[in-house]
This record gives sequence, C-alpha cells and structure tokens, in this order.
Amino acid sequence: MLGRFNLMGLWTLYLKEVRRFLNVLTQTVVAPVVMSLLFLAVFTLALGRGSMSVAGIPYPEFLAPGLIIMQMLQNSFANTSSSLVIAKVQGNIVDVLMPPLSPGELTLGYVGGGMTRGLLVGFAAGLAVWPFVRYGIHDPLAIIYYAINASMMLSLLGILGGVWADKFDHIAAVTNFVIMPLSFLSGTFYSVERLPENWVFVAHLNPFFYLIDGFRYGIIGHSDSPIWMGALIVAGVNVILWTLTYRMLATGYKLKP
Amino acid sequence: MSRLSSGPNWRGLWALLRRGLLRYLRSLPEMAGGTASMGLLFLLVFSVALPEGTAFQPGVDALQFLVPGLIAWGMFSSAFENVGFPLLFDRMEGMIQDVMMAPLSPLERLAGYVLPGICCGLITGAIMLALFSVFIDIPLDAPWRSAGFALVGCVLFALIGSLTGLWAEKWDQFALVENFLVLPLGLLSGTFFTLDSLPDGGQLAILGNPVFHIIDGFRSGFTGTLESTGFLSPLLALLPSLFLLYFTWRLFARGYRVTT
Repeated sequence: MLGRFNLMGLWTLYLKEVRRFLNVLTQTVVAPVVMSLLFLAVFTLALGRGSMSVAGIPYPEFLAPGLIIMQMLQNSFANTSSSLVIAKVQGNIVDVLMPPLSPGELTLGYVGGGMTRGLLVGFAAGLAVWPFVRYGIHDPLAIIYYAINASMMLSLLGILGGVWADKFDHIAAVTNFVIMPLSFLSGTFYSVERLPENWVFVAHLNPFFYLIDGFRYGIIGHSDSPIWMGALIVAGVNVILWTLTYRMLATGYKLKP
Repeated sequence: MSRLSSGPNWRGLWALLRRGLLRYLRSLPEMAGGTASMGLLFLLVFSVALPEGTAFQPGVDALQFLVPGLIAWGMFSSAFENVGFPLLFDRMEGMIQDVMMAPLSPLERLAGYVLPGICCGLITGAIMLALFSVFIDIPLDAPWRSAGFALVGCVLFALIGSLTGLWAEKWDQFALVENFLVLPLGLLSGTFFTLDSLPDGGQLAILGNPVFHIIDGFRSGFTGTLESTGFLSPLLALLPSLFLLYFTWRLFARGYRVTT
C-alpha cells in the first residue's frame, strides 16, 4: 500500500467530508439557498427602484449569478475550515493524521468535500432563484470552469484557515473579516465600474472579482474584464494555493508536534 | 435570603441578569463585531450600488433610510440569539436545573433569561448606531420614539428566542428557527425598502407583519416619516409581545421541556 496512491483512504476521507455536511443538510445546503433568495428579495426591492439596470442588463438578472456564486464561495470555505477546526478542537484530527494518507491525498480529500458542498449549494441556489429571475445560459463552459475554480479556491483557503486557527473564534474572525467582505464587495451586487477610480484598480487585484465576473459572464454574457485574463489569474491563484496547502500539510504546521 | 416574604426575588433576578450580561460581554468582540461588520458591508454595498441622489422617502437620503433598518436587524437578531442560545445551552448541559432549583417564580426565571437578551440587543444597537454615525449623517427626529420601538422589538425577539431555546432539542432545530423565521423576519419586514416599492399584494401582507410596524416606528424616530400611519400600527407592534410573554410564562410555569 505505501508508496502507491492510497485510493481507498482518499475515498474514505472524501466520504467522511461529504457525509459530515449532508448530516445537517438544512444548515449546510438549504439555509444558504434560502439566504440567496432573501438577498435577492432585499436587493431587488432596495435597489431595483425605477427599474435600475447595470450595463444595460436588468438589475435582478445581473444580481442572480452574483448571489449564486457568493453562496458557493462562502460554503466551500465553511466546509473545509469548520471540519478542520472542529477536528482540532475536539482532538479527533489524529484520526485523519494517523492513517497512511500523504499530504497530497489529505488535500485532495478535504478539497473534494468542500467543492462538493460548494457546487451542490450553487446548483440548488441556481434552481431556487430561477423561478424569480429567468436568467439564460450564455456559455456553459465558463460556468463550469468558474464554478469549479471558485469552490476549489475557497476550499483551499478553508484548509489554510482551518489549519492556522487554534479555536473557533479565530476562524469566525477570518470568516467575518476576510471571506465575507471579499465575497460581498468583489462585484456580487454591483459592477466594479461603479467604484471610485482608484478602487477599480484595487478590485482588479482581487481574485474573488475574477471568480464572480467570470461566473456571471457564463450566465448573462457580460463581464467587467477580459474573460481569458480572469481564467488565467484564477487558475494561477489555485496553483499557488495548492502548493501552499500541500507544503503546510507536508510540514505538519500546527497539526503535528 | 428568605423567600417567606412575598414579592419579587430581586437578588435572584439580578444574579441571573448579571450572568447573562457577563456571558455576552465575554464574547462581545465576536458577537457585536460580526453583526457590526455585516451591517457595514451592507451599507458599503448599498452606497456603491445605489444611483446618486436616490431618495426612499421625501427628503431622506437612501442611506439615512437604510441605516435604521440595519440597526434594527442587528439589534433584533442579537436579542434573539442572546436568549435562545444560553437557554438551549443550559438545557443541554443540564445547568438549567440550577435555575429551576433556585427560589424563583416562573416569571422571574423567564425574566432572568429574557432581560439579559434585551440588554444585549440594545447594546448591539448602540454600538451599531455609534459606528454608522461616523460615516453617515443620521438625523434624529424623535429619539424617544426610536428608543421605545427598539425596546419593543428587542422584547419581541428575546421572547421568540426564549420560546426557541425552550422548544429546540438540539442545535439543528435552533438553527432552523434562526434561518427560516428570524432571518426572513429581520430582512423582509421593510428593513431595506419602502411600502410603495412592493406590489399591492405584498403591501397588504406586510401591513399584517408586526415586525414591519416596529421597524417603521423605530425608523420614524430618526427620519420623522412613518410609512404606515394607521391607528392599528402601535397595537400590532405591541400585541405579539404581550401574547408571547403570557405564553412563555405559562410554559415556564408548567416546566415545559425543563422538568421531567
């Protein structure tokens, strides 16, 4: 077994991760879907006055893809980070560290779980929003590419955060002060063209912006930045995050004494 | 202290109130910090996304209209959480027995859980108000009206919290009420929109929603404009609290889900 790829171990870890969130389905999948519907109602009622439109697109249609991917981002992050922090606080992280799983297999298993939740939430939110906002599908390939990269990026960030955090407060702080602001302010609710000039530049340094922009392009066919550029940047960030996570797990940072 | 004398057990009540407040203060940075940063995020989004010069009510800037809504939402969810959470925690850990054994009447026990939550809600509201006033020029038409409606809203949500904390058997069920009742009530009760932005059917539905009248009253203390001026409004704002107060009091008296 050693020296070869531990497929069974990886599958077991993946299943554990998936069953963990399916066990509390109402909190991990249904609640985010309801959240996106609530946000849809709130923001179209508050902002949709006088039939506001963004770049010639009716506001609800502009908003819907942003809300869907926002929930994907938040839930992918929540899945891996909470899994690791709970395991660390309760001490059962040893059950994951003891089996013959390589750092690469550990990363894959956790990321797989986080991505499954992110994609499931995104799909469910997409279905739930549709009766209210009849959006079309402009480019299915872009949707799939960005959905996969978004959930992957946030799952990896969730591992990094989860390994770093020593208690729930730490990860709550990361969620409240890093992940939430980034997912809120990166173009979910508005076109970044509306930002003051200097901030447009800052927005273009933010990988979350490309995730949201690209995903929205896949649905409504409008993007604030060239789509190939976003695709490259997103892929590059994910490669960096994979390497970082792999190194972190391989060195045993904050996991092994 | 002898309980032979009739009259409220002030010392016991004070002990419970202090316990509740200390619990809250210990996690204040995360609790209030989370709520306040969420409010700021909403505000930022609105200020970027709203076209220049949007007014929701005549003479009231869009952000001036939205800020009271955001504060109300933060206050009410804080009041709910800080009653429901401790109550369910105490029941699950068995600590509720310490409260049941103490020489307190059912109404005092209920107050011992609900009062700290009301205070937490009001503290959260004050923090948010202070924070927002740094960025936005908030008008203050009738401060006492706002304070009164803030209190009414916190009482209502604290009571909903006590009912949830009493009913739920596990965290899952608690989250169910929070996600599917409290959150929609907080977000959709005219928090961020005016009556006239709703279709006719929606207007009628929202006029029957007590939380709408509470938020409307709370906001009018700032902006000076009431959305709904019907004589039923104050009644609709107050009645549910009175009903819930009686109901949860009876539940505490019966020992519902706390004594076997």
